Amino acid sequence: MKLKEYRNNLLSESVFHLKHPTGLNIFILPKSGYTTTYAVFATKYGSIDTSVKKADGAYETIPEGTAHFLEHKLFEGEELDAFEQFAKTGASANAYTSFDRTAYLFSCNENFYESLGILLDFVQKPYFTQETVEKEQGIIGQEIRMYKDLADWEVMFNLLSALYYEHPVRVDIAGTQESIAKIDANLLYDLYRSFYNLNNMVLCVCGNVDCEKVIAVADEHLEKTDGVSNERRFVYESPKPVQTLVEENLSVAQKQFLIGYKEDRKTPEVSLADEIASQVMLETLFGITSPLFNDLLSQKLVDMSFYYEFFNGFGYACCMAGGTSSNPEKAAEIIRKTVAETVKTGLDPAAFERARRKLYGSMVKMYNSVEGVSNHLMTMYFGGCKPFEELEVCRNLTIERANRRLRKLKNSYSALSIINPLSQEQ
Amino acid sequence: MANVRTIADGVRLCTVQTDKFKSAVISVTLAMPMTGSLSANALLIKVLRHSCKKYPDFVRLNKKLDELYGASLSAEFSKNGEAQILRLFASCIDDRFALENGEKITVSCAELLCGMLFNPDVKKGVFNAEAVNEEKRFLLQEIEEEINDKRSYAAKRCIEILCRNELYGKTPYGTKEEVEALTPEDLYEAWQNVLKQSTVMITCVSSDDGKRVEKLFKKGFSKIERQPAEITTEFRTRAGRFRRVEEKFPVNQGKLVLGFRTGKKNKEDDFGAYVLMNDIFGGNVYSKLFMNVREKLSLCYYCWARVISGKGILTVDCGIDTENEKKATDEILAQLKAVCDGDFTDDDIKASVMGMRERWLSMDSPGAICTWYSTQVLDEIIYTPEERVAMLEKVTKKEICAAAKRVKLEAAYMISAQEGQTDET
Repeated sequence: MKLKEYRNNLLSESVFHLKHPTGLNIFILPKSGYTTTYAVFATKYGSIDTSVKKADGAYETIPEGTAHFLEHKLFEGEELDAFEQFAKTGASANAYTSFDRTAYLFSCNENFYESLGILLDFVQKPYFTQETVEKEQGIIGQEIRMYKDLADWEVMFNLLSALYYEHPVRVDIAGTQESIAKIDANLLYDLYRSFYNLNNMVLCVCGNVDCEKVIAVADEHLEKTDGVSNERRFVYESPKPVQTLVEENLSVAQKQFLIGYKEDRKTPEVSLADEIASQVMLETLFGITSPLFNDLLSQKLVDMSFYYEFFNGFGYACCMAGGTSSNPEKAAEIIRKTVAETVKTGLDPAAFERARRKLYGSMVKMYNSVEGVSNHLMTMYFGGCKPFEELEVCRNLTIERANRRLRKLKNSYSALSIINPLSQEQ
Repeated sequence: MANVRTIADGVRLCTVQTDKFKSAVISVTLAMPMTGSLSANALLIKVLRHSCKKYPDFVRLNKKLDELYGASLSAEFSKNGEAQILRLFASCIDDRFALENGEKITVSCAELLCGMLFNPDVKKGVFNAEAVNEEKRFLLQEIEEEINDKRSYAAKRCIEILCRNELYGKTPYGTKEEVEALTPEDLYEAWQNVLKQSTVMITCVSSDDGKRVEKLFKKGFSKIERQPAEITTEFRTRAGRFRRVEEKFPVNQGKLVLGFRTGKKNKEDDFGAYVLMNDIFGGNVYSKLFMNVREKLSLCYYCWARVISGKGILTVDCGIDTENEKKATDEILAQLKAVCDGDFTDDDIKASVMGMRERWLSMDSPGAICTWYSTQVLDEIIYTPEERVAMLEKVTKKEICAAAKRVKLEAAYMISAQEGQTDET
């Protein structure tokens, strides 16, 4: 089998790609001087997948939180669970579910190929019973409760539910106590068959590996399945928020806030160039050296916990900024005023250039990390981009594009989420 | 791979030269006895990060960092045994990857760190009041917000309760009231003390040969009359009377933290046996706590044990429904007893050694290498990860059981949900 090489001379790195006959796409970035190797095996199935396309083309609704539930359950095996198998090779294994994917991963210094076999096997061999599903409802129930007490988690999900009417991004990744109660073993097997076919998945490896040997393990352990890549349903949403203010009381010391600008998306996905332009635009606007941040700081309306994010995925995109504040309403007012003014004047070119260099630096640094690289290769593949494309895009980014992204920010599309302190006595 | 040398009295430089990475890191770790002014030292390290003579305000300093391709600088304080640790940490992309040829980013970062440490924004024996006030506000807020994350708050409270009569029971910033009372003059005094009395480890991981870095720090310390203070840690080998503290909060999930004495006499005492005992007990996903408290009884999402070698204590923490406190405590103690009784196989030991070897030998980032060496600031002998792993490979089952038998419960801290707060979400 012939691997396609993507070379980046500046980084002196190569990524090798193979479309395996079973349908799985495999990406490998070998790092010969490293001791650690990291592998991630992922499927395009996350918390936003609350419906599944049937053979007749119609979409069937499924409970919230199934992707995450299935992630927990796949570790179980008929004889040994996956953790027990990895304990024999010494690899450190884990998994996570995000809005748009479920990823199974491990890292190790020794016995990589053996561990890779375990990873490919356990993800391809679902095994659960009604009894183990019920036991998992208790564990995940505790996980949901843990997050319900975390203010930075709540402030974000409250904002998302204020911004989005229908889009499932508004619901906690793990679902709710009620939604996971609807999950049973049969449903999990059905969903497994829909979402865990190799055409819907990707394997990314980075570290001290030999590509040929990785492919040999893949040949031995991958089993061809039927099915195609999961086709998501895009439903256009009005850019207007559901509500402009959402508040919750939690046991925290000070108020926390997050302001979000919903983007008017006529198509489901933001291009890589626009995504990077948005990141640089937000750094210019909200970054540590920006006049806005320093104005908020000098008025004691924010502290160093202030952060911003360009948050996007299939069917949703928004710009967020927030942190701890003694007066969230006032902070939000200043942010809204500055956004409106900057939309008129455009970004400061010197600040834009600093922000671009900063982002470029963080992109380069990322290539240190076998974990970072593996997950990045996966993100790029799921996003329909080629390896290393982001570096070229950042190098060629113009202020005009960043200003075009800036002009997408409209105060009438924004909402404010606030967490208020709940005292012990209340 | 690490080259450690003394460059001034009580000051060591550890350089690891490698072109494996895209970035470089430099850190300065300063250890002070916990008997000193914890709050002044803690605020000092934050103020040093805030600005310096050359970049006298926050914005100018951060603009400089952005120009260096988003170099990052952080200042932190923590505990290592009964020492207060102050640390400045810089990370930047390696010179080879700059957009323009010939940019010396690593040396620029070392210059910045030296500027902060040796030439802060001080006039006539007083720190810049604006910088001090701003950082004080941030620090006070940080302290106040400790209760936001109930899990780490509970872990901290358990240690406070367990070590209430020892220096280790103090927080590394002293108290909120002490921080509030600090003046720019106090900080000047703290700065002088730290420069003179701290035990220092400078760590540099970079493709650079480290010569310029050594020269810069050597020059800085040569102007200081060094008198490193002695730092010792008390190890209480016997557990005192059991004490339980409960606090009620309006939360969804309760948090339980148990505090144990391990019987260790010093950091190195039976080092390997304790590490493996902890791992088999509750350090990993194949451990007894995960397999039983979580997987078998579904009481929690997380349940971990952590041995703190530098103080000879061990903690177990988990998030549970309030009414399950007794059930969880009983099961945790039953699992500890199982380790005491040798209820594990040679394969389990092998898996633990392998797991720890994987963890310690995964030195594939400059930050991980830097942290490995800088946490040894107080140790006479500097161990490589390989040497630490070799200590584990010699441990026998008998030694693991013996270590477990010395582990005794002394404290429990519980955050319980206030009535009416559970279930409704």
